[in-house]
Amino acid sequence: MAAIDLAPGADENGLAMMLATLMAQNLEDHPERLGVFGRLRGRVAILAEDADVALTLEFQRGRVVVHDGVVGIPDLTLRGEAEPIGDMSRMESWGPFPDPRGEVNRAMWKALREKRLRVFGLPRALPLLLGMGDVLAVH
Amino acid sequence: MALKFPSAEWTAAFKDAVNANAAYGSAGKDWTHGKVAYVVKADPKLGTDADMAMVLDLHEGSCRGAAYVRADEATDAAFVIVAEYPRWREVMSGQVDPTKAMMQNKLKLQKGHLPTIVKFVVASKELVKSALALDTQYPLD
Repeated sequence: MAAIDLAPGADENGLAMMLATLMAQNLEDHPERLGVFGRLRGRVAILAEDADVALTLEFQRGRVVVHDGVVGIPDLTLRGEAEPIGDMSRMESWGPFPDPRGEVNRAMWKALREKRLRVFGLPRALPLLLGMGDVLAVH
Repeated sequence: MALKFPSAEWTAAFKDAVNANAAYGSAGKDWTHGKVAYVVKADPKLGTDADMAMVLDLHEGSCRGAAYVRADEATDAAFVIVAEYPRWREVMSGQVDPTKAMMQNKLKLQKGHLPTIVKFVVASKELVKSALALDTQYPLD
């Protein structure tokens, strides 16, 4: 069973609560994703700038601690508008990769081009990004 | 005549507005996951001494029924979203996007399967947008 823990203060952070709940329910619904979750290691900072909300996911190979705000030095940082950040878990997959034909994915690419969503830490943290995407995906 | 939010009259009119919203009909066509309750926390300024729920019986892109009841009577709702009145006013009047409001902890999913809500996020937004078609009187304005 996946260990998903909230650091002090994270229970008052709506985005942190959403992602913690999403990971817990997804891993319960899709136990086959536990393997991916068990391999994830590193810190992901997510900042929804227009919602004034930030959090850090600290993956520790089979455990994740969800922190309120940016904690430590992130390996991967996603910052931008709340909408594309919220859409991350709706991205369509094509095997282990995002499906370029997907409606949500096209909207994400547009957000990236328009700098409404910015990703820092690539290409080094690409496995972390893809693995996290798999754990959060609702499809 | 403007309808007071929240109230039984407003909830009934909201049902009609949802059914008149073609974008909701399209985005929610695969929704078979049960009733959704919007709970407004008790607020003495509103004259409510209990949490009140607007329960929407949503199914395949339409709203089959709507009821305004005490929240503790809304036990058949599969999804329960709770907020203080001022937060609902912000969302229902289009000032704040519902997803953003959840990220800010203004709206809280008290009951229900979050991945399903996320999957139907476009439908959720269209549902809320339906309220913009109503002539609404928000008390304390």
